[in-house]
Amino acid sequence: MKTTGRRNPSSPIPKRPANALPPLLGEKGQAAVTDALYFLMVVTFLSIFMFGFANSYGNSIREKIGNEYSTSFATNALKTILYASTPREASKTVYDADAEIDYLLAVIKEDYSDDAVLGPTERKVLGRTVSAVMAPVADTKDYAFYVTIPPQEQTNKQGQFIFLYLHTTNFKVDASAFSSQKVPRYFVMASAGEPSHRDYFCVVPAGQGDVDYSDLVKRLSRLFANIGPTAQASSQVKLVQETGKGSWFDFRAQADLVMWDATWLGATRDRQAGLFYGESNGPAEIDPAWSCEEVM
Amino acid sequence: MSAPRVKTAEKNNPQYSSLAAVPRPNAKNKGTAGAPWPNNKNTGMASVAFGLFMQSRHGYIGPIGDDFPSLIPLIFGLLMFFTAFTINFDSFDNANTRFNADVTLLRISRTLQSNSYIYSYTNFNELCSQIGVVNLKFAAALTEAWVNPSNATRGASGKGAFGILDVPVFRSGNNAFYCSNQEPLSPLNNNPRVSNFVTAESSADRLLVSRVFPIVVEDDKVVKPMHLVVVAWK
Repeated sequence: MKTTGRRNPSSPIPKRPANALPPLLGEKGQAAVTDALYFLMVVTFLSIFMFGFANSYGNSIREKIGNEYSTSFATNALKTILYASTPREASKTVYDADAEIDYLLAVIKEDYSDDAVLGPTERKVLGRTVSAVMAPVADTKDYAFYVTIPPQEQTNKQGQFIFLYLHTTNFKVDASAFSSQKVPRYFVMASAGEPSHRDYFCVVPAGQGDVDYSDLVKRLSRLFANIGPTAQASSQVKLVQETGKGSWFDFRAQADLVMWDATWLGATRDRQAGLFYGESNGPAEIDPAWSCEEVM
Repeated sequence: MSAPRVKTAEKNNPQYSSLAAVPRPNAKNKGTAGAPWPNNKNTGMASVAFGLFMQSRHGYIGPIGDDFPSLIPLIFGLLMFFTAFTINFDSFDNANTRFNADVTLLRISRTLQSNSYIYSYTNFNELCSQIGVVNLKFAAALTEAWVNPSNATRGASGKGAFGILDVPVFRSGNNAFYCSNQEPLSPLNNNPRVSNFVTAESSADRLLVSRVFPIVVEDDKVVKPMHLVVVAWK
């Protein structure tokens, strides 16, 4: 028999089964509760989405502002280094009344012109200026400042590193963390060592060996490719060299400043060869190809 | 939202009445087998409360009675939505305020840096006057604190590292190289500092942003490397 769902008033009232649920629970109000629960579910998802969106809101803007600041700082720092005056003696400062002051770039040009290398005094003067200019960010950033002569056919100049100053954070690496399988391969457990930072003069002629220009360019490229975001500034400078007959010729050189967030530059489980250090840091672990000496 | 109403004839019929159909937990049938009421031995307070609720004959069936259970998640959902909305709106507002402050600070410092070479006190003042109106209070100063870190230029205590508010303002003769759109909090003496304009105490509950940039200043025919410190606050 077909039922319509509506009871005929003249027909007898059907009896409810004895074990049936109370009618209020079984029939009344369930649709409304279900609607409300759906509403609650939608609102919950919406709230979660809003929280997620608010949490990530502005991350890219914050990153861009940070990058803008780093790039600005690097550009200004390079200008400052190249414009600055400096005392000719490493033991004095521009604030000493009796110091003989000259432009830093002039001192470098003059010293390079006679023997095509930068002497130890000039190296210290330049290194100290770089360190002073970069001091506000030295605790959180590592950086490299270098002056190079790119290979030039016109002047028959071979590629050469004239000066390379490297400021690194002295991380004390927890070697046991490398062996733990629970630590992801790309994690390095490190804390600040003593001293907290180390500075190096590299491509030093009195170092462990001759510096190969193209090899060092490759090493620097590998370093910059593995340390995350960098802020870089470059500027052309002109150097001169004596020919031996009392005449001079000038050629193009380049000054570069690269800074990055302090990063472990040694080997990791993913990186068998360190970027600058070996398995543990320290001057003894630096590859001789860099020809470095620590700044004391 | 509400379920179909029971007709009057059915409502008056004790067999069809919803409450009449349910044996109530009185002394006679409490705990009887087959009844929908739970046995007292196996129930807790919740069942008792439920029983007492079901005992009430009036007001349960009707617009309020039917909709009441659905109002609880509805109100809870609305409460949750508006709470989340308010929190997120505050978060957006804070982030936008911070970004505006950062951008304003970069604009001020870019104006003051010019080409990173300040050749005189007059030149510095000209650059300062170019800043114009900004929506933040700011103080900018040239300092040699990092380049010439003698004890005299260190923090107020003269020891250890200095905070950015402690940096001394560079002086050349009687000229102090600072620029601000605020009057100093304390009189500038012979050793002016950024803290003459804003202190850690005065900015405790405010948004405060700061930046440092290298710069060179020509002073007495010597081009000195220095730093430009810019501090801005709400």
